[in-house]
This record gives sequence, C-alpha cells and structure tokens, in this order.
Amino acid sequence: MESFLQQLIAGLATGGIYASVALALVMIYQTTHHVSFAQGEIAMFSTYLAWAMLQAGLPYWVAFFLTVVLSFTLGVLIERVIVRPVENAPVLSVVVVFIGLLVIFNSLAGWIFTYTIKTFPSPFPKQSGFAGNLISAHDLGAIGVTLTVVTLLWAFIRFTSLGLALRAVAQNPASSKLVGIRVGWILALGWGLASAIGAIAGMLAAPVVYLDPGMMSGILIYAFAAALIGGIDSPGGAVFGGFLVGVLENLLGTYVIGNELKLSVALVLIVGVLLVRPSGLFGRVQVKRV
Amino acid sequence: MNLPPSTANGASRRPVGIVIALALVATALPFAVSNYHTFQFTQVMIYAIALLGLNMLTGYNGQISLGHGAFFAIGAYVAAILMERFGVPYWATLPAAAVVCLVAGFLFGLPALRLEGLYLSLATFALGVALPQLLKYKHLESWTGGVQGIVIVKPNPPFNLPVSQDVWLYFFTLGVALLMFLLAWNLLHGRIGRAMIAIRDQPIAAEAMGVNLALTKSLTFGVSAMYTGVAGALGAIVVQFVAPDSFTLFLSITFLIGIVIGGLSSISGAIYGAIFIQFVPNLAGDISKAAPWAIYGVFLIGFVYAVPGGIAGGLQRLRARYRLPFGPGIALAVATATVAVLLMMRLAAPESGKKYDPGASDTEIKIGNIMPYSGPASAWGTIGRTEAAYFRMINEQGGINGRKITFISLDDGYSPPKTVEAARRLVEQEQVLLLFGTLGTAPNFAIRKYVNAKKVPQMFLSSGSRHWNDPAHFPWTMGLLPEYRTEAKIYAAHVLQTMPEARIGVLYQNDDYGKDYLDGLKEGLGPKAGLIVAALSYETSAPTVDSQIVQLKASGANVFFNIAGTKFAAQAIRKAYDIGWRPVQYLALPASSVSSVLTPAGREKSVGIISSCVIKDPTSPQWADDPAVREWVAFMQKYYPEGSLTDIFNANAYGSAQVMVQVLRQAGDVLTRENIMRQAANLKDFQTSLTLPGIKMNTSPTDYAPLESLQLMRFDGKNWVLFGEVMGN
Repeated sequence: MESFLQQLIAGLATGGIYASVALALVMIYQTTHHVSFAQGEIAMFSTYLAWAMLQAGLPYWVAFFLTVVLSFTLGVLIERVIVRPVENAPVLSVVVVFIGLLVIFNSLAGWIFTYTIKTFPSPFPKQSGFAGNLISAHDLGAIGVTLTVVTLLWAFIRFTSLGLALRAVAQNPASSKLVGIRVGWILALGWGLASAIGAIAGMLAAPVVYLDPGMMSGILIYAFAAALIGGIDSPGGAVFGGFLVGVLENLLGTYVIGNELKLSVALVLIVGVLLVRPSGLFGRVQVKRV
Repeated sequence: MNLPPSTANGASRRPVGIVIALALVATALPFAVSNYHTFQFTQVMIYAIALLGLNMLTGYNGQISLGHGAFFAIGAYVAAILMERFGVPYWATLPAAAVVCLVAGFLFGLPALRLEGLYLSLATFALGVALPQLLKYKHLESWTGGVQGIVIVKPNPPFNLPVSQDVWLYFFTLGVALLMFLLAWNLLHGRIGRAMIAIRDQPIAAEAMGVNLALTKSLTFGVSAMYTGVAGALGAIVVQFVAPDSFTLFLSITFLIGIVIGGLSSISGAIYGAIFIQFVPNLAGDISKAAPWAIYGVFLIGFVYAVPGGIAGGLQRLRARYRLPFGPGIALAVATATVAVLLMMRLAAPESGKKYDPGASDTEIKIGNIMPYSGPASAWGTIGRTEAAYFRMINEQGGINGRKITFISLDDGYSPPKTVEAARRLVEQEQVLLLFGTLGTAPNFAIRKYVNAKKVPQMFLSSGSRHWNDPAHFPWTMGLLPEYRTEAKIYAAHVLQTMPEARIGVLYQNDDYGKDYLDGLKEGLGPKAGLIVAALSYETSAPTVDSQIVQLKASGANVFFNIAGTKFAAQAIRKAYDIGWRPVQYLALPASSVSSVLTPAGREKSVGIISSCVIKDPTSPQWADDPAVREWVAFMQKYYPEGSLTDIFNANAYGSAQVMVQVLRQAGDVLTRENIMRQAANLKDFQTSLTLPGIKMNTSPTDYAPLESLQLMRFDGKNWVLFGEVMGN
C-alpha cells in the first residue's frame, strides 16, 4: 500500500512537470493554432539563464522573476522576428521552423553551458512534514505553482479585455483585425506567455530532473500527449492531462506491463481515448459548417 | 486555399524531358564519382523513395505523420531478419517488406481515420516513439537482435558483372526507385490521386461526389507505408546493419523536414528533399564541430524563408516567372553542378605516399574519428574535442617522430547509418591511416564489418561492450575501456564475499550498456543469480527514474546496483535516500564522477556507495594536488579552455589519446596499418598519466582488451577511498 501511494505521488510529481509544459503548448495553440515543438527547448534555455543568474549571486526569487520576464521577451522576439515571416506559410513549413528552433536552442545550450548536469535549487523547504514525507515540499510547491499559473491564466483569458482579444484572434483572425485588434501583437503575446510559462516549468522541473540540454526532450513527448488528451484548447484540460499521464505511466509500469514498454502502452491508451473522444477529454468539439 | 503546384498544373504533360535528363545523369554518376559518393547517392535515392511515400500521405492526402520512421524501421527489419535468419536473397526481401508495410500501414490507417490534424500527428508520433522500444523488447530479441541489432552481408553484383558492390547496389536501388516513382506518378495522376487530393481539400464534397473516404484514406496510409518500408529495406541492405538506434524519432522528423523542404505535393520534391537531408547535416557538421545543430537549424529556417513552398515549389515559381519551357533546365543544372563539385572533391583527394599505407607520410599521420556532436548523445561530443586538443598539443610539441597528426573528426549524430557514411568518407575520401576512438556500441557495430574488410584499424573505441575483443574474427577492431561485464563480475564477486545472503535490486539503462552489465552481473553470481530480486530498466527519454526506485525499495532489496547514465544515476541515489531506502549501493564506473553524479545527488546521500576506477578522478578533491592531474588541468586550460574541468569524459579522452600516441610512437617509421595493429596488440604494462598505480594496459595478438583490472573504491561523503587490491586480471 505504501508502495502504491509512493508510485501515485511520484506520478503526480512528474505529472506536474508534464502539466506545466503542456500548458505552454496550449498557450501557443490558443493564439496561433500551432503546436510549437521548440517550446521545451526554449524552456530549457530559459532555465539555463536562471541558473546563470543564480551563479552570479542573485537571490532565487529575483532570478526567478527576471527569468520569467526575459523569457517573455524572448518569446515575443521569436514570434516577431523568426515566426512572423512564415505566418501565412503552410502549417508544415511552420513546423519545420519550429524544428529549426529546437535544434538551435539545444545545440546552443550545450555549447555555452556544456552537457554536464547541473543542480538547480528549489525555493521550497527540504522537508514537507506532510503525509509522513511521502511527498516532498518541492513536489507540493511545484504542483501549487502549476495550479496557480493555470488559474491566473484562465482568469486572464476569461476576464480581461486583452484575454478577450486573445480569444477573438484564436477564433477568427480576419474579423479580429477588422474590429481593430492588432493581431500580430496578440500572437506575439501568446508566444511570450507560453515562453514565460515554459520558463516556470523548466525552473520547477530542474531541481527534480537536473539541468542539462536534454532535460526537456523527453518531457516534451509526454507534454504533447498530455495537452492532446486534455484537449489542446483547454488549459485546465492540459493540466489534468499532465497529471493523468504521469500517474498512468507509473502505475502501468509498476503493476501491469513493466518498465520497458510503459511509455508505448501509455501512448497507445491515449490514442485509444482520442479515438472515442477525438477532441480530447475537455476540448471543445469543433462543429464545422459545410 | 492555395492549390499546390502539381494540381494547379493538372496532369497535363508527362515530364518526359526531365525524366530522360535525370536518367542520363543518374546512369553516368557512379562512373564519374568514387564508391563513397556512389554510396551517398544510393542513400539519396533511398530517402527519396521514403519521402515520396510520406509525401503521398501528408502532401497529397493531408494526413500528417510524425512517425514514418517506424515504417522505415519495419521494412529494414523485415529485410534484415529474412536475410540473416532465413537466408532469403536480398532482392526477394523487398516485396516482403512492401507487403508487410502495406498491411501494417493499412491497419494503422483504419483507427487513424477518426483522428485529424494534431490528433493524428500524436497517434503517428506514438508509433514512432513506441517502435524502437518494441525492437528492444526482450521477448522479441531472438528476432530483432535487441539493442545490438543485426549485421547483414553486402550483396555481390550478379552475373559476375565487373562493377563494385557499391555500384551494383546503386543501380539496383536506381531500378527500384524508377519503378516506385513511375508507379507513384501513375497513381497520383489518375483517379485515385485526384480522390486523395479531393479528400485533402474538400472531404465532404469529395464524399458527396462518390469518393469512398474511409477506404481511400486507409489505402493511402498503406501505400505510403509501403513506399517507406521498401526504402527501409533498401537502407538496411546498403548500410548492412539495423539497430533500434538507427530509427529514432528524429528519423521521422527528418522525413518530415525532407518533404517540406523538397516541396509538398510534388513528386520531384521527394528527390530535392532527399538531397537536402542527406547532405546538409554533413555540411553543418563540417562548418562547426562545436554546435552543428545550431548551423543545421539556421539552414532549416533559412530554406523555409527562401522557398516557403519547398524547392519544387520554388522551381515552379521560377519557371512561371521566366517562362522557362520546363523544369529540367534547372534540375539538370543542379545535377551537373553537384556532379562537378563532387568530381572536384575527388580530384582534390590527395595522392597517398608509396612508403606508407594511406594516411601516413614523412610529415603527416591522418587519424579519423566519429563522434555524436549533434543529436541525443551530444554530451559525449566533448570526448572528440578533447582528443583533438590533445593531438594539437602533440603537434605543437613537435609531433610524433617528426610527423604531425591530422585529426579528422566527423559527426554522426549517434545514428548508425550516418556512422557508416562517415567511416567511408574517412577511409575512402580522406584516406586516413586508422579510425580512433569512435563512440558508441551501435555505431561501432555498424562499421566493424566494413573496416575489417578494408583492413583499416578501428581502435581504442569508446564503448565497453564485450564485442571488441575478438581478434580471431575481427583482427582490425580493438576496444579500450574495461568491459562492462568485467566490472560487473568484479562487483558480483565482492557481493558474494561480503553479503552472501544479499537481495539484489538492479536499475539499468535499456541499451547495450545496461544489458551487458546485467549479463555480467548474472554471470558473476553464477549459481547464485537468484539473489537478484528485481531488475528494472529505464529509457533515456524518460524524465525521471523515481518510479523504478520506489519499485526496487518495495522489492525488499538490500543491495542496489545503479547502472545508469550520469543524470539518472544521480536521480536514483537521491530518490533512494529520500524515500528512506538504505541498501548497499554499487555504482557503475561510467557514472562514478564526483562532480557530475555524487555532488548533484547530494554527497551526504552518497556515503558508502561502492564503485571502481581506473584513473584518478580529476574532479575529486583528493587528487587536486597530484602532478598528473595538474598537468591535465593546465592542458585543458591551454588547449580546450571551453571544455569543462568537472567533466570526467574529458579526463578519459585525455587518456585515450595518450594510448593512441603511444602506439604511434611504438610503430616508429613503419606506419602501415598492419604494423599499427601489431603495436596496439603489443602494449606492455602501459600506463597513461592519469591511470591509478597498479592498473596497467596489456594486450597481445590474442587479447584485444587493454584494460582488464579495476580498483574498488568507496565514497566517504567527500572523496572516493580506494580499498582492497586491484581486481581482475
């Protein structure tokens, strides 16, 4: 029983990481209708920026917020400078640009910061004193931060006029332009938010998985699955999907099929769910007019 | 919506001109260029077939696949298994691969019918992720050869044709490619092709017009998989090797890149895309060893900017703008230019001296090396950079017996087919004297047969697999590192000695490293192998190994074997401590670095861990004042300042380069490949500057394992403390 609980909690903890990266994917999708494969590597690179600031002696929270701001700027810049020229290109051309970004950031991180793994501090206390220390304070804190971010995001999209503009652009860019929304900058805002969320995800994941240029490549696969099973246009769904994938993977690996095939089986199950609910568990079903 | 070029164009005229021109160029090509370039162009044709398959599905039918590498792999394995296990001739494996992939693709296409866009991408993505794992699955190992893959015999030309194997395979592939392209042209320009395009653009209207949506879509999936599968089978035959490492997710991504850069919905686009994915990564690696992927990424983005519709689309636009009669002019120009460049490259290849074997002269010794500077294993790339730096230092100090070392290190991205290509370039184009320190088990496996046939030394390679000590069958291949099995056996003996009633839990990486180790452990335990109560694997793509550690604790093990890469080893040590599991821990040597494993895991959490070593860990404070370590630090600061001083790989590479230099010194003025191997098999009690006292390298013509002894050590919370005698032989 204790072992089951530990598996469950370990699953929730890694699930939290998937959830936050999935959230970044959803954020970009919301505005641009693209899935950005580069998001994981941008998050990893941002985490290195935070690490460099911490090495330079900045206090944790200062580095944290500076990184979020820097990442936001980086995201906006990427959209404005690199993605914008292919705004109207076929979707697959955009995908290739994303792959280009992915390999560039991965390679640069290795070149600048080397491939040796680095420790990244956690802002939370060492002992949680909760549930007999079954769950560490960092895991709890990380889950808390993820839930806070998704709530803030939801509130931002739901209640602010900028959020309204964001939704309008996602639905119908042409009409949005006609009513005076500056579509280009809204897209950049989406990228900025996604990068900022990615940076937070990276900084929360790094204390657990260690910081190295490959830290996000595995996570991205899971996050992609999580975002889709939750529904790619639903932030709450993505977070739920993240936790689901984390837990599912651990329980399958431990009690059903062993570790060798657990990722494959988890993915097959997800595809199975999608066959029944093609828009994900919480996604909006797209009704098309003919 | 913008119609892609081929439909806008309709099925107007058959491009006879372009076909004839290309056929002429293609026939002349292998006689104009070297065998190595012929091999490269064979690869291009293979990729072109695969891309054509993907293009049918994604370009013409609008179904995005991120997992076509899986069908390429299935085709390759069908060919390999039929040839090696059943003795089927190589040409007969192609139809088999075609049928298997057609059925697999069709079946996969059925459920995929319900999915669209992104969700379909995820399903195919899942296929691409799952397949390499399936290939490694233990219950399939007797078929697939597990992580080691299958080595295939290269077919000879039939009827005693007076051409080389490479030229024959080129024409064989050319024939298959022509057939496949012709079939595709007819298919896509006929009723079915129109139905495919209609479904992509207006599914509902298409259905209303009587197109059977479900059947057409799943059939397209099947045919597309068939094309890619045939390409996979050809690829296996040409590269003579299949292994799970050849078919990673990145292969699927590369295919996608190929069709986009080449041009979606265009038959000729498959050829342009194939040329791109074959040559541009090499080019990027030639430009920068430090960050080849960064250069590649810039190329990708640059191409999409320059020709958003792909190369085929760009040519189409050029033609429309300047009212050219047809595309062949451009295509021909490109082809001629390529051939001209290659010819020049060939002419520029230096003549070899007469006194020596290729690669050696009075003034120079050419050494080849293959490293993963890009891709998932880039962390190891630093080994190649350290070795290059070491040889640079040797050259500055006057070289070896007056000769300067030219160290040519190529990038293979840890993909075995790329390793084969790189090895051929080094041996046939660059004409190196020998290959030194090539990294990884699968990459070295892929080239072992080739270098032994060519009688080129493949020496001191960076892999601890047990397969490099086989002088009877592979006299040109020699390892360096202590075999993983040797190390595991030493630990097993130690366990039996100190804890006869142990309950052993093992965490191992699901690849050759982990499996060799596990085998060695079982062998070492012998009749007591039942002491292993749990052996759990992990994939390197996983974010954490927390789940496995919880399982191991639950298994009741009191001895823990940690056979992981650095990151996961550190995670395991930390997690075990955090959940209150306190077994006796053995840590594999490759993960025994103080600075990159124990310190990240927490030194207080690592107290008592047992491991072994052959060199002084320069990252450990206990050796900080050792003269050899100081010398290493000075070397790093002067010749490789951007390299990390806390990276144990850099110290290992320094040692490997020293062994190489020693062998070259021993060889004196007789720089033939044979003499090099003779000297390598004649190391007597050699020590590099960093090896521990008591650990010596010895080789003989029947023993190709230089390092067979290890020193046990235990971590005291600050340093590794050596204990006991040097173990092994």
